[in-house]
Amino acid sequence: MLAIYKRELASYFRSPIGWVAMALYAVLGGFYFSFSMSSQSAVNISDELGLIQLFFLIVIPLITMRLFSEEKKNGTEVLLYTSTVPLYKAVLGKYLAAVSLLILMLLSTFLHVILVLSMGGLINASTLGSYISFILIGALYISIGVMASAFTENQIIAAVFSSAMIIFTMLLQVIASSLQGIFVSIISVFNPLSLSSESIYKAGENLAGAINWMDPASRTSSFSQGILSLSPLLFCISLIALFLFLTYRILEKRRWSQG
Amino acid sequence: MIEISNLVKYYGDKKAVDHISFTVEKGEILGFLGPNGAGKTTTMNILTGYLSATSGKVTINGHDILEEPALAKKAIGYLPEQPPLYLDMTVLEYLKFISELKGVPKADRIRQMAEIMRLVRIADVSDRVIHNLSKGYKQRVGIAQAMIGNPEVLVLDEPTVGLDPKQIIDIRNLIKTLSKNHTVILSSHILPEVQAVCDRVVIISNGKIVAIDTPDALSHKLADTSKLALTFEGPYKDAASKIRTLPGVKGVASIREKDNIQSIEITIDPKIDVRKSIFFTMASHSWPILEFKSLDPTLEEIFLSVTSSDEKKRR
Repeated sequence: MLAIYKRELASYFRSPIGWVAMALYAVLGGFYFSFSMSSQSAVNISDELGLIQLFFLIVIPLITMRLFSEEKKNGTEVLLYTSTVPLYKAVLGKYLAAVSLLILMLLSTFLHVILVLSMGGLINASTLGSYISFILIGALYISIGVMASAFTENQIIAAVFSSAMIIFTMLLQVIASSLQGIFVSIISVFNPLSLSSESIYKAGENLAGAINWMDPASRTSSFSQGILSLSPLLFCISLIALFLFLTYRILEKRRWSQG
Repeated sequence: MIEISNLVKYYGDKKAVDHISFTVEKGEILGFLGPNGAGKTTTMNILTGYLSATSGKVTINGHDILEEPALAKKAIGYLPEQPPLYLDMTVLEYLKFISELKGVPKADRIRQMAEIMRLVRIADVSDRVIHNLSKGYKQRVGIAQAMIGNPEVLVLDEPTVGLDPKQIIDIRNLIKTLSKNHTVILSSHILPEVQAVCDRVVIISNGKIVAIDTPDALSHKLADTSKLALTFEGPYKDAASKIRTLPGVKGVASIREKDNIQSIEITIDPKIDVRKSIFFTMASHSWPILEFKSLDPTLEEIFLSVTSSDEKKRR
């Protein structure tokens, strides 16, 4: 497993992908940092992380799309299937390599933390919490990207699929509130069970609550307030485990069906 | 050593491998012969654990490939049809990765890689990126990959396809050298190749085994379809009728005619050597012979002969 991890991580830096991803985050973070230093005379590292987190949409498909699809295309997946390393370890090795790259991409923001500290700024639990939630959510999206990459030998399809999944997850709150509105207005018009408007509104709220329950961003939002709780952590880790397990099953299935 | 019994593989509705059974003894070079799409690659993919069979069993040194994959796979080095190379790595980086993947002990890695690179003669390109290597070198890096971890069995799928003649000879010699310490299974659709290196040949067609035998025995079976190719200057009709009357000649067919130069194919009875009498016939009529050779049987002819002789036996 270590061999696969090392090869994957090194291959990010043999191609431009690793450097581009790191540069993108260094530029975005640096831009935000210097901009807020000069215009607002105040810098919040948590906000900086929140900003660059938006770019997961681009960066995570970029770093995960080739993980399995390229192996299939180049015929190198034979090595993984015929080696004595069990397939789930290959999945883990590749996954951890991508997560490691994500952490490397954060390196430039550590520079900003040092700058803040050196100027007597405040680095507290909420900053730490922001970092943890950034990595947790990034790790979750990476597990989605890894799964997308196992689906197909076409990197573009893998990237589009994982982008779509990430957009969907990012928009869960918006989806929840608009579904709530639609639900309430439709039921109020037809109202087959002749419910009171109050209970219709309640039902709509519960529907939105159920959708929001699945939203990793709102779950980990307490982290950036400096509150480190166990339940969002377990939520994200279970989802990651689920996606990696699905990846493993997709790869295992291919052994039986492919031509 | 390797036991394959009743292997069946379906791709959807298509039966790619149909109840194949054979065994491979230790130290043997087994040739796997068949036209494209006969099921060679599928069988090899199954016996190396890359694919799973629909039904049937593969054991390597007594270890079932599905039940004890780690032990079974450890004994096998596989070179698929397309060498599994990471094009962005250098040869050395790649072999190092393979050593780690196969769990070669750290102390042995350098020594083993050096030995293999010397044996397959890629030491001079060890620092080059695989992407920039020629096809022949890539193939040899692929073979080196299969040899790492010192597996007892090497499975090579069409190891000489796409190489130039000199490289083909190189690879054949390499396979012969390897067979001193390894059991080798190699597939090919080229008959002379299999004849040149293999102890035993499995012929497979449409997913079924049509013959298992030594190359000598197979060419013996082929004996009644021997052909000669003759090119001479002179009239076709006269020459053909003269040749037909010779004892041992079964038939004459024109292949090409150009400027009174005839290329013909003569089917002969292999028990009678007609070459001398053909020579003197041509000489006596002053039809100069420009080219005269015996034709190697093609794979199609092997199939025809093997399958038809099977049918004869059944009757």
